[in-house]
Amino acid sequence: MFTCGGFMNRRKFTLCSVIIALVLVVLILLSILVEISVLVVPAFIAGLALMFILRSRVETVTVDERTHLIHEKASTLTLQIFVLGAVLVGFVLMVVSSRGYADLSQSGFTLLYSASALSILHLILWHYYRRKYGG
Amino acid sequence: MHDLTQEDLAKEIGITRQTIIAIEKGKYNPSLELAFKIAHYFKVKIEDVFFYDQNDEKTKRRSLKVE
Repeated sequence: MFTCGGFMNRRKFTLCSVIIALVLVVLILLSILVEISVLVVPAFIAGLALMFILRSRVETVTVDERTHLIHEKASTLTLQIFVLGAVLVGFVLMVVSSRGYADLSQSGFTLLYSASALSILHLILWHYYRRKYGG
Repeated sequence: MHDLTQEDLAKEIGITRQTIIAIEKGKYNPSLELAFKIAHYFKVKIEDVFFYDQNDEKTKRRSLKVE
């Protein structure tokens, strides 16, 4: 029988992670359907804790320089897509609002502020790491 | 020659098996540190395991083949 206990290889860890993620999704959907929002946060925390415990039981290495490179590239592209998308949609919403088609200026402002905040945070961290690695 | 699996090598060097596969296929260029680790593991010079192909700038293919 399949169990998530004991020491495990990476494949078993991935399978356990997928199961935990599915259970979490079902729990969150259930809590939304039954309107018990109290369940969401504990379920999420429990899921994270379980993942953390499982990861410490994995025999093989799960993170290395290639994994870091993949994360870096994915993060950079995610940031660029989000900022660009947020700015574009934000401007469109502002224009639509200013022409009186709909009152979406709050949403537009929220998107533009989010994009700005994310860009500023990225810039601060970029400077931090540039100094750290002797740039 | 070493009767070594990708999983064994990955475990010995402290990287994932997927990284070994990616290096073999030329999809990933290892850092200098990792290249030295691999060469050191096989007790050979780094240029015996990897080579730099100037004509293939994009892939910078290196030759690493593990069972």
